[in-house]
Amino acid sequence: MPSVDIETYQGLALMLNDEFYDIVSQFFNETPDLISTMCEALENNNLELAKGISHQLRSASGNLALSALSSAFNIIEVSINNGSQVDSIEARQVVTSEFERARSMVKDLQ
Amino acid sequence: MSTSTQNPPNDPASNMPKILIIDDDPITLKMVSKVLRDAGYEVSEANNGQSGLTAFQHQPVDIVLLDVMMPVMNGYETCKALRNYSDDESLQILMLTGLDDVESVNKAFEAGASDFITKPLNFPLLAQRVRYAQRSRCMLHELKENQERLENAQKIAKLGYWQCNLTDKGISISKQVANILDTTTDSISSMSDFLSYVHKDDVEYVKKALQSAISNAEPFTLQHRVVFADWSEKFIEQQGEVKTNSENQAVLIVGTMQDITDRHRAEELIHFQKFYDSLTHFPNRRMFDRHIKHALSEAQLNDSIMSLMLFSIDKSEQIVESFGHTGFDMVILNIANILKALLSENLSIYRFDENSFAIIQKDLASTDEGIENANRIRSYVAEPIVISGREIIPTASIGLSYYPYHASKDKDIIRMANLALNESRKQSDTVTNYSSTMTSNSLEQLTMEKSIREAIRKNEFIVHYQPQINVNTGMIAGMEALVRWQHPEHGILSPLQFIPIAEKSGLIIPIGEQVFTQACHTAKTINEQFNLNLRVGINLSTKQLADPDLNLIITEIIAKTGVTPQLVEIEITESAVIDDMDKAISILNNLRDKGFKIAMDDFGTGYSSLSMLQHLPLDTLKIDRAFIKDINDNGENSELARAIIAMAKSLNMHIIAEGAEEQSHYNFLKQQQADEIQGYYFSKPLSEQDFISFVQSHLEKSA
Repeated sequence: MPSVDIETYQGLALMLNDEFYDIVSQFFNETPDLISTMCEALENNNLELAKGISHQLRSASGNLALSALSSAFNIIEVSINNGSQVDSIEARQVVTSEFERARSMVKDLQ
Repeated sequence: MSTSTQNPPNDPASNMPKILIIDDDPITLKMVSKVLRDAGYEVSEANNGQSGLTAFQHQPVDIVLLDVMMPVMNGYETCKALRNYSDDESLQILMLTGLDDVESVNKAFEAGASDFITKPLNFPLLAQRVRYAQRSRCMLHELKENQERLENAQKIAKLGYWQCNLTDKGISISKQVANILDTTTDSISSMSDFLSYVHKDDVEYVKKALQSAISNAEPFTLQHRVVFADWSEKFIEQQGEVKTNSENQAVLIVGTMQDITDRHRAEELIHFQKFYDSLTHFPNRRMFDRHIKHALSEAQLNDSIMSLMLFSIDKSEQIVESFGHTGFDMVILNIANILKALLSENLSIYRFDENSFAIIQKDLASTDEGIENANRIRSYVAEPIVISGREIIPTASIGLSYYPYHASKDKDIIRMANLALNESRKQSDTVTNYSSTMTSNSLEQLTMEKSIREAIRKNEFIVHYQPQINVNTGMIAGMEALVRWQHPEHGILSPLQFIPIAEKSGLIIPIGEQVFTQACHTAKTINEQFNLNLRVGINLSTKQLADPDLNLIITEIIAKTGVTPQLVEIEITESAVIDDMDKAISILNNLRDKGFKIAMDDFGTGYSSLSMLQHLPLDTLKIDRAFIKDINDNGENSELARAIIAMAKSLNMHIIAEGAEEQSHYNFLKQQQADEIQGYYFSKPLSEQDFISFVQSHLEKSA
């Protein structure tokens, strides 16, 4: 799965103009903390909080056309919903990795 | 909580729809806001359900975009809360959800969502989805307005609709039908529920009509009554159609129900006004015309005796003159109330015209029964009634005709009852059965009228003259002009043979004009021939006196004949002036101003009073022959004549005594100092030529 759905991403950029970049920038600034909070919640078995953050970040990343990242959050959300055990370390690795891929690709696109 | 928060859909041209976005994800919130603002919408934001609800309560919007998963209050709860709060049924709530399973979608709709949009959002299409939602809102709003208009129209028209499923006999009714039946929509669920409202006398009719419509699968219209717990009634009209399935079996009835109580009552009122008399509430002449035909047919069918009784109140004109129309109405009403007690299956009563009633009697044993009933009615009616403090006893004249003895057609039986009534009226307070002589008399009258018209055209009316002799000098003082009909077949006809019909038909006016002209011409001729100043007395009838052209006619005759008005004495009778004294005085004064003399003819036989004589502008009083004819040689039976002469003298009137036929009459009148005498003692009425000879001979004798 591509890290960024380039066509959609560029379409959004055209559509929302400069504000889009501000939103993207806000996303990349605020998401690391949210990822940390989510992972801590997973570690502490605070599944409601973890589910809420994963849902929010899935939605936000998806809306920004960051497909792979959104998919990663979706897996966490679905797993929590299904009652499956989610390894916080593994989760952190996966989403951080996808986050960085996305940030890198977005930087290239800008 | 529910309050009135309904916004009419915004007009896109003038005011963009307001949108509230509720999402806890700031990124999504910003992106959606940006897209919709750019599309021209007025956007507000909330980051959770609770604050979204508060924002909506503060400023209602047209469309809400609502995330499902949010902390504090999730999307479903928020959606429910919004629906509870707002009564704006067209408010569009679009759920934004990444949960695209069927269960979530169902939950969204159950919570009151209008639609849902899945995440990640397709931003290029987002504005279109919102526009679509706005269009839905407009359509819903329009639909609601149309429904309201329709409901209002139905409410105004008192029109509702219903349908009956013929398979399970279930009925559903609209709100307006429930209103008409003063109940609720859920209280009528079966045909028997509905029939419980129908007036018991109409139930069979309604059942049969519906059954017939179902059997024949055809539309129906029926009117019937419904009754309520307080026994009040409404009239309703139902129209409906029967729907069939593919096997042509009736499966459904759809119908409308309209409250036509007001219309029905208006129709009843119109019917009443058309066919009933508003004063007595008896059926009127129009209804009578229908019923008499029916009654005759029935009598023919049953081979029974039927009578038509025409019942007229005597002296109605005098009652009106004395008590006014209101007083007359009271008399009519009083009589109507008496008659009402007589109504039965075989006796029906109608207000025939202003002062008469028609009574149809069916199944009479004999004509005697008819006349007995008539006499009984006549006696009942003669009940004293007090009007304006004065008591009057009404009397009635009644005419009767019978089927099968007199006629079998409505027009004939009415005409015959009328002839009988006319006969009764001549005497007042009597009952008369029709007889065939009445028809012949009536026909004779019609023939006579025709002949009189012809006679006027051919100048067949001639004038005879009866001399009036001065008692003191024995000289001719004047003459009375008396009309005769020189009939081509029957010779000279007396006025008694044609004047009543001429009066009745109005032909007296042209006859009077011819007589006036001839008399003036003769007077002028004789006076010139013998160098005399003979006066000519000419009678004016009631109709002539009331003729608005009288003044003009007389002026023309005077101008045409050249007679001196002072030598023309216009003779009137008491009956000619009794109806309207003021008018009579005005007309007579007018004639007197032109120089004519005025005489009261046939005095003593009518209604004259001393007061009337004082007020009328009279020159001469002509004592009727009735007061003279019985005076004998010894002067017996002369008291009235004596009193009249004394009275006239006291009023300084010239006195002419009519009907002097014997020496004794002459002696008495000379003794009482009457001024002139007219009668067979001196001469009968003479033709113009004979009168001239009489004058000549009289002058020769005097010389």
